[in-house]
Amino acid sequence: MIEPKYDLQITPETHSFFEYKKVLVLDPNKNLRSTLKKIFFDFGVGLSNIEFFEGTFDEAVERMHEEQPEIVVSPLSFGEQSALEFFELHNQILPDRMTSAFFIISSNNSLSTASIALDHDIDGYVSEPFTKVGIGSIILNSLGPKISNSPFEREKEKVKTLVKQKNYAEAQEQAEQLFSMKDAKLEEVFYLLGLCALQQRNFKEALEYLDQALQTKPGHYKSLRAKAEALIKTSRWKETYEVNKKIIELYPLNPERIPELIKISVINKKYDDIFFFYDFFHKLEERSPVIQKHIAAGLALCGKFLFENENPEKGLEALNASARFSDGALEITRTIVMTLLNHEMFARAREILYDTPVELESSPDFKLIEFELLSRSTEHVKEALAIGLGLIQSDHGTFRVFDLVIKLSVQLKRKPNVIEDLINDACLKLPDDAETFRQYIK
Amino acid sequence: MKSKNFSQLIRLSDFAQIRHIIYLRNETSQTNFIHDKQVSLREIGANYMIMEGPSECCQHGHQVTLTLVPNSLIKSVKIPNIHMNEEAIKLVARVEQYSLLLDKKRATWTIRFTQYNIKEWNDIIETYQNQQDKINDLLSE
Repeated sequence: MIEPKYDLQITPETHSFFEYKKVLVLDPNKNLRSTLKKIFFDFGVGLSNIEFFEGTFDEAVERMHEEQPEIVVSPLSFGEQSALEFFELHNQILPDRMTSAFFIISSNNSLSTASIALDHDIDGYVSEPFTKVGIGSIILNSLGPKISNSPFEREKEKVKTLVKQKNYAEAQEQAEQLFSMKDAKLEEVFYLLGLCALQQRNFKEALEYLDQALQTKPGHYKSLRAKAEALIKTSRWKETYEVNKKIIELYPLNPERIPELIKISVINKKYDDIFFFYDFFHKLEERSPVIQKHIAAGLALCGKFLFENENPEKGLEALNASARFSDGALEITRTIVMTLLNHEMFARAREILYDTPVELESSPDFKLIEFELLSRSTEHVKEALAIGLGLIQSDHGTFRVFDLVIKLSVQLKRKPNVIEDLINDACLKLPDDAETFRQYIK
Repeated sequence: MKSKNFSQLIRLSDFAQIRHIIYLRNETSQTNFIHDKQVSLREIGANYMIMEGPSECCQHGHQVTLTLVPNSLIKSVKIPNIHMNEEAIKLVARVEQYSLLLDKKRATWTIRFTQYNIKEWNDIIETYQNQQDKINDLLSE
């Protein structure tokens, strides 16, 4: 096959869509500039409106606020941060998605990683290496409905914006009007109505709409995902498992979903899945930073389950592997540390916690784990108390923190009036739990 | 379908990437570079490629010989010998454009081919385009 000639069909509609748009490319690669500049210029963007940004994540955020570019091209990972953070920001700055667009550019061309774009409703995913024609077609094709300014798509985007703004009553009203539109896609309308109901926690109604969407178009991705969410929220675990099976069967697995699927497997006692996921992580040859983070979270859950149930040895191995992959992600560290502490493996838990990157050690999340850890050792009770008091002072006093600090204060025989002050403080900060705390005075 | 578990439905192949391992011999400086994940292809065209890798690989004007091997073969071929593999594709080229990235440790080069098998190169372009087409189909859902 010979690379197709660069002769993309650029219509007057294309030109008018792009004409006054600003483009921000968050990729410092100078050699790609000429290609992207040519493409956007040919589409109708003025040369002075195409910016290639070089700098840090914070500077890029600032630039986005200043310039408010309608079109953003971002790498999948920007240092430690993910393109999804830029996407969220872009959505906040320009909530009208009919006139804006976001593209991810990535060297990872696996279908599973690309499915991240599907889950987040991102306009396009450009995998590298790309060709001039390839990238041009992706931009044109993915923006087709926006460029043609289809009345249905325009109204549909308005409903989505209302949902994002949590204006559900109006969103529902406008969604119902979509049924009468000439070019209406019924599955999309049912999905939007289902989404409105789901966001308002009307789960029965949501499931009815989503089922109608799936009857209209079996396998409609967004409806399947929303249905799975509605089922989780109503604790219908067996059905949740079945809907997710359908999703997995029809679509590549988004790595972000691995931890959630493991949880669903554990609840449904599908032990084969747990062993599968454990082996699966070891079989993966390509482990991008994005996938690695989710693998670590998944391994922590697998490890916790295996450790406590079927195979403690394999469980410990999975927990250790999770700690290696997690790169200091505190949520994962917490799962590992707590699992080990619940089995009185204090030394290993401590080792894993203090393996966290130094820069995270002053964060409240780290302090919360450290507080749990040290409170379990009689040698470190005083240190634990000091950390707990620090958390309360810095407004991170959860029920668990207050509860444990009060118990440690009793254990360390602090003055009764000090303990009473602490209890009063807990009642004030957490009024819903005041009754529980008052029991301590009695 | 009902009797199956997640474990029977998840496809490892969805996590696989299409890549080529690149063996680069810089004929001008008489040095060899072989990098698995450090060198990547960013853009490809009828007779050129844009590569990214460690800045010391090559400079503007250098003559290079590239050997490309699909990553699917790396299990059966020892990395130091990939340039001798029968399925490896060889291209003789010249570095036309060189630019350092922000961290100064990495750079990108536009490499224009001077001697190559057009069919072999077009097959590579097609492989990547097919993968992008699959991604486009997925996102058009």
